[in-house]
Amino acid sequence: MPPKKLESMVAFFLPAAVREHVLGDLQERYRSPSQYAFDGLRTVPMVVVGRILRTAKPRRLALEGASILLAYYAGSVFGGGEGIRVWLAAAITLTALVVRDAYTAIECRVRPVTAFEAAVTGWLIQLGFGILPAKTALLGASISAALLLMVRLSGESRAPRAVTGSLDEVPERARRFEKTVRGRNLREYAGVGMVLLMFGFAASRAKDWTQFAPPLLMCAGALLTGWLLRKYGTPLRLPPSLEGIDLLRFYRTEVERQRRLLSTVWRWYLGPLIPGFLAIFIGQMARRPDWKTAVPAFFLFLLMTSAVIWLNRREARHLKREIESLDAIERDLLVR
Amino acid sequence: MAKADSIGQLEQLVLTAILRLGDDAYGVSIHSTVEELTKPRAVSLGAIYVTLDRLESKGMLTSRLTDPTPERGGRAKRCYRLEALGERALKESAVTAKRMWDMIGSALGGRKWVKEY
Repeated sequence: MPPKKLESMVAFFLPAAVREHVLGDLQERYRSPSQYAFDGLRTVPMVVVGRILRTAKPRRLALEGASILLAYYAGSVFGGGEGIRVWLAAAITLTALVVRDAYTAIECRVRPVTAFEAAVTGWLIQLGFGILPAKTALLGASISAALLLMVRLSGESRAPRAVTGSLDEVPERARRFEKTVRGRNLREYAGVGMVLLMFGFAASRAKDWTQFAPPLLMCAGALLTGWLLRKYGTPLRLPPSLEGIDLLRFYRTEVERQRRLLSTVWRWYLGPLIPGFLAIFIGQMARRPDWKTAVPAFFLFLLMTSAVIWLNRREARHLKREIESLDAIERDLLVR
Repeated sequence: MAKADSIGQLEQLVLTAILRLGDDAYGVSIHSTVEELTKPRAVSLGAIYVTLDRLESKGMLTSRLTDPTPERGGRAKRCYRLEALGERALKESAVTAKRMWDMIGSALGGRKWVKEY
C-alpha cells in the first residue's frame, strides 16, 4: 500500500475525471514509496495534458481567448495599462480557464461556473505580480467573467438536435424549445442590463459631450437590441389544448421564427451596438491617439462580431435540421 | 460509411492491446501489453493515458468504470472497449503495414533480418 500522504499528494494533482482509475492503476503498480513517487511524477503531467487536449476545443478556445482579450482591453481603456501587459493578463486568464476545465470537466462537458473561477484566478495572479493597474485588473476580470459566462451559456443553450423522431416526441421537444428560448432571452436581457449599468455609469461621469455621447449610444443600442429581441424573439406559449399535427405545425412555426431571427443577428443584435462601439473608438482616438492599442482592439472587435454571427448562424443551421425533421414526421403522417 | 481517422504508431499499439485483452483492457494491462509489443523500448503509463483519451475522443474506444476491488485500494478500473471505428482504423493500419512488409520483403528478401521475420 502506498503511504497515505504520498497518495493524497498524487490525488491532489490529478483531474477529477481520472482520479479514481489512475490512483487505482498506480496502486496496482506499487512496489516502494520512491517507485510510486517516480511513477506519479511521470504520469500526472501526461494525464493533465491528455485532459487538456480532451476538454479544450479549438473554436471555443479562440472565442473565449478573444472575449478575455476584449475584456482586458475594455478594462485598460478605463483603468490604463500597456498593450503587452493586457495580452499577458489575458493569456494568464485563458491558461487558468484551460487548466481549470481540465481539472473539473466531467467527460468533455465544461462547466459555465469555471469561467468565473478562471477570471478570479487570473485576477489574483495579476495582483500578485502587479501586471496591470489594480483598477484595470478588476475591470478586466469582471468583464471577462461576464463574457465567458455568456459564451459558455450560449454554447449550452442548444436547440434539440433530433433529426428524426415521431409525433409522440413533438410535445416534449416543443416544451424544451420554449424553455431554451426563454432562458436565452433572460440571459440577453441580463446582458442588456449589464451594458446599461456599465455605460450608464460611464455616462454619469462624463465631463463633456465627447465623453457622454459614446456610452449614451451604447445604452441606446442595448435598449434597441433588447426591444427588438422582445418584439421578434419572445416565444409564444404552447397552448395546452393543442395536440397532434396542429401542435407540430405550431412548433414548426416557432422554430422557423427563431431560425430567421438567428440568421439575421447582424441586423437586430449587432447593428444597434455598432454606432456606440465606433463612437468609443473615435472618442478614444480623439482624446489620446494610441494606434498600438486601437488597431488590435479594432481587429478584436471585428473578430468578436464575426464570432457572434458565426455562432448564431450555426444555431440557425441546427434549427433548420429540426424543421426538416418536423417536415419528415408530417410527411410520414400524411402518407399513412 | 464514415472514413476512419488515420492513427499513429502508439495508437495502433494501444488498439492492438485492447483487441487482445478483450474485457480486461484497462490502464495497467494495456500498458504491459504495449510494452511487450515495443520491447526493448519502454513506454510510460502517462503516454498510454493520453493515447486512450485521444482514441476515446475520436470515437474509436468507449470506456466504463468497473466495480471497486480491494487490491486497488477499493478503487474502480476504467475498462476500454474497441468500437467499430477503432477496429476499422486498426484494420487499415494493419493492411498498410502488411503491404509495406511485402514490399520490403521483395526488395530486401536476401537480408538476414528480413528472413528472420
